[in-house]
Amino acid sequence: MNDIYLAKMYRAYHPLNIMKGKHTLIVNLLTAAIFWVLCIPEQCISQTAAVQGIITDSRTGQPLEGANIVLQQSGEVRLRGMAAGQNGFYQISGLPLGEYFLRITFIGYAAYEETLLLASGETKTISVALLPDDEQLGVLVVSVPGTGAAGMEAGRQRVEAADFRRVPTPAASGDLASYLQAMPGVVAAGDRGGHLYIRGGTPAENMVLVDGTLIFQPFHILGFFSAFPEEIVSYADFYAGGFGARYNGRTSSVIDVKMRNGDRYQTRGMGSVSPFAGEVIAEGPIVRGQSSWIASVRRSLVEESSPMLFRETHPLRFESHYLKLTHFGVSDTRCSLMAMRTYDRGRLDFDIDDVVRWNNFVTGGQCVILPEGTNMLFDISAGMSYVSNATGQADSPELTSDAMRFNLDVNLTRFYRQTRFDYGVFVHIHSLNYDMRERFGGPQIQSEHLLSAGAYVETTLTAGTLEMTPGTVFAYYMDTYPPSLEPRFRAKWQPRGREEEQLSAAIGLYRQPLAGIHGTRDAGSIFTAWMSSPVSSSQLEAVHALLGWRQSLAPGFQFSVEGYRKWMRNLPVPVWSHMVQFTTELARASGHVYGADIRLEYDRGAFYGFAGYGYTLTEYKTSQDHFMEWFGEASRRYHPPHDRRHQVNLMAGLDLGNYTAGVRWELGSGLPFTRPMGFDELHRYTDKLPIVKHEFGTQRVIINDFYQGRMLSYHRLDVSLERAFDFPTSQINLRIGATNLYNRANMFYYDVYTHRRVDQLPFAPYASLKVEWKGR
Amino acid sequence: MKINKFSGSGFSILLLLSYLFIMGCDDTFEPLQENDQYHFSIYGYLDVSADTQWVRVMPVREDIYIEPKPIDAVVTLEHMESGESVVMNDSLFSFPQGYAWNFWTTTALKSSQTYRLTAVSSSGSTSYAMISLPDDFETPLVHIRFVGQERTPTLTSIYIQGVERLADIRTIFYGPMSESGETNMTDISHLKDSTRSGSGRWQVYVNPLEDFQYLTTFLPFKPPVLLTEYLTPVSPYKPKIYIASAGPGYHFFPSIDEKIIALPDGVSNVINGVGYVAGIISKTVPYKNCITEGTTDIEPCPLEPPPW
Repeated sequence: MNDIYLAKMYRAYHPLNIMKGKHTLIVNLLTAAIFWVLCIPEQCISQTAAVQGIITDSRTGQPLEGANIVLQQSGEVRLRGMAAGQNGFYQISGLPLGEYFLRITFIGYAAYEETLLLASGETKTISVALLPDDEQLGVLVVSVPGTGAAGMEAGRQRVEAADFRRVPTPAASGDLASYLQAMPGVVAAGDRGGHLYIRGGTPAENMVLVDGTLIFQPFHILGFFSAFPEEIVSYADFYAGGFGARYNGRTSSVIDVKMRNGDRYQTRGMGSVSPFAGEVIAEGPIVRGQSSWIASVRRSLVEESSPMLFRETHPLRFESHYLKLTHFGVSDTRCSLMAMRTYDRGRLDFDIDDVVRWNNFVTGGQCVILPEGTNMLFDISAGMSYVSNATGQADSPELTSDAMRFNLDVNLTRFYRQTRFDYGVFVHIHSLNYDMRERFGGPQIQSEHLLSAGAYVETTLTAGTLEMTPGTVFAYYMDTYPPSLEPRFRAKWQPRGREEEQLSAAIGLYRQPLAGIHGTRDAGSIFTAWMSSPVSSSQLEAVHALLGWRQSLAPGFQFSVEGYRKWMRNLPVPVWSHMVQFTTELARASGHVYGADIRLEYDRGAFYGFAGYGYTLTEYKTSQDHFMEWFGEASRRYHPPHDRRHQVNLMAGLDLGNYTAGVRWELGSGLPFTRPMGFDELHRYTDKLPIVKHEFGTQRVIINDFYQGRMLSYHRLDVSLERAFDFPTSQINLRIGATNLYNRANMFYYDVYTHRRVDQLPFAPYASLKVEWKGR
Repeated sequence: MKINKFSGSGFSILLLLSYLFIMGCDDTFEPLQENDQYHFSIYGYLDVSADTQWVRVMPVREDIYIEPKPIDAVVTLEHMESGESVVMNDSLFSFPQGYAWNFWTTTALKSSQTYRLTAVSSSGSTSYAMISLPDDFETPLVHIRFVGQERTPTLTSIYIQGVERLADIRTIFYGPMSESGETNMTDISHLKDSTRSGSGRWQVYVNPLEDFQYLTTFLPFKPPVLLTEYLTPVSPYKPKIYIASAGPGYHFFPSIDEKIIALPDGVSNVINGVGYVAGIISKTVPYKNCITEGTTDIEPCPLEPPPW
């Protein structure tokens, strides 16, 4: 029957038959697609069997990516196996009929073993929820090659929630924001503002996903914190570049955060407080073993504590609320609903009245399904994300902007022998509004809608120790941009067949339909207006190329280096103006970034150490009408305000029984800024002669060239010491620490108009208390 | 050999670490670029027709705010042909946006002559502008066309002769600008509506309806005048037309990009400074038809002083 079907397919795809007509071609393509979707080729054409399933944590139902699945046929020496991929999914096909011994293992979990009998053409689904093994966890002392901060793989880094704690944070628990800022190539303008620049890209070019749904501005106004504290996150895949075809719509980076499911057997809770933030988390089963919930509330306390801590009020406030419901169904179905709200409000310059505020609301659902009898994993997510921004006077903001995004993403995964196929379709709808009344101009109000739909395919091919993942994404934009095809390629190779040594590379084309426009009056401006590409009918575009080497030097001691290069086009940059204003007049720029990250990590026994150095050079080139008159040349190259050239991060941690100590030192070279020559009032003669008795003129900055100055370099030492007290049903953690231990006056920004310097947080000692109720 | 290679790498790392250490310790911050190029900002114009000359002279300052303290500048106006020079008087003006120093003199100026305006600080920093004044020109002729029994103004033609460089043409309304009757001035530029029709000849078409609409939009209350009346002697706004001819070297600003005008050296005749000082002869005429007695011919109206 399968042979007959294949014969039909062959006839259908014969070139002569294709030529018969457009309709025939479409019908044939659809038939082929259905054939492909519904049938594992090998199972359709041969008499072999397959085993597949999803590996999860028994308590939370969290997928265990990287779990080892090994099959051994009775009487055979040869082992067949693989590591579970995304969503904990595995599939081993092309198995001869017979009896097999199956063993599934994962560090920190008790092994699962089973004997299987596979019949002809059978696809057996063995999904396993592994039981945590406390004894194993107790002796887990050596990091696995390819994990941790030095475990880079073509721009990708897996960040586990437990890693967040490596970075001393002035709260009771770690946070993704603090962790990312400790990584080379990630630049924050300061300890407030919530903007991250990754390998030369701007914050608006980063894609942050929470369980598959985009969140526009998840990093809080107080830079240590984000909507992702360690207790509610499972892990995050951080792509500093070179990400695969599954991700589309951004040109710089991807931070794909997977949130933790609630405990489906026990009700548990946690509460913590520090001078910077307070947090309450609770979780438990809805129907024991079948469904769970987890909820968290976090709020900053620095506004209240700062008069005592810093002897002045720091008007910075954030909140985040989060709820996730998960249902674990039959036939390996896992569906979750999630809602997240964040609110940020504050004055970046404490001495002026201008307030910036933004809030996100994200809600979405995700289902991961491995239907009985099929051989592919469905990962479907749908959601809505809303962000609003405002800046100006608290009761009458001068600038407002909001953006809403609806998404439906259907991702499918299947294997053919050792080849993995990931493919899917998506529909994204954006609704964008902004209202920007210029300080010296008229209102600028705009509303627009953007619909895009598309598909992607990615194939992971393995040949010996070489793994290649070519892929492409196709996107269609209604009435906005021409259709877009973005080919991408990722590869990794272990030249000596050892996991300890790996070469990885990635190259790809990336496009972004939305631009996030920032205020440019000063470096501290964080207002963002979202709009379709304002400077061209083309999308923002980037080409990434990167090459890295990872080497284990000794057990628990690894080193990685990764070089990268990016070419960017259609970047919206502000027109260089001498007028004192927030301008929305934009020009087009191209740019390039090159740099390298060097990471050295030691993680063995009680000691943890990390040293990272990042070198990044970002250069833009823009042509503007008045440049010929100004500079005598049509275009100008410059380093944009986020071009931090050098970055050093040193971290160390010591775990001694109930005591944990952490220290982090960071150094960043100065960011570019524009040094004016002076100020005056301009009088134009365009309409009429100026009557100086009656007219003041327009304030002007006299500038010779833009971004020719550098702010002071930045460095800071943070320390923490934690003591855990264990009780039968609870645990109490006490932490003391300090940020900016030697009270370095790190510049946040300098207002060249008024000569006011705004510094980052001074020395701030803190103590935090965390109480965990282990549940019943 | 290996040792040498290692030493080289070690040396490089040492160099990098030393550089980073020095970079981290460097606390010198210079927010402003050194400025020995622009000393003063000078704006305004010299008007042969005016009794008093006013120019704005401000130091190029280091921040955006202006303190109302005495200005460190001596401003002189020198007649290049005679070498005569006069020190201008300073006067501090207060505006909602800040303070400004204007300098003035009642010295009479001569057409077709050249003057040098110089600002010198106590440290000797000097900025100056050379200003050429134009030749005198004939009084412009204004012709308003009316239609209908209500004599609604439909089109105004202004004919100008003897002006090589037109610097300004505007309609001026001086009268009640608020409900309380506060008297003030507003004007509407027509420089962009001007067309050069020959050597020294310009024709400017003004639509009175558009001017009236602007006036009604600009005023915060309904103006106490009708379209049919606002150009007549009963109008409370005393409409006038102001025309200015500029001397040699003057640029026709409406054709220059705004961003170029904003450049410090974009359009400037101030040496060692920023700004622009024009030399002009202005004429202000009533906004009406003046008829030659006993005929229906339009003739130039008698000149009036501008309302400033």
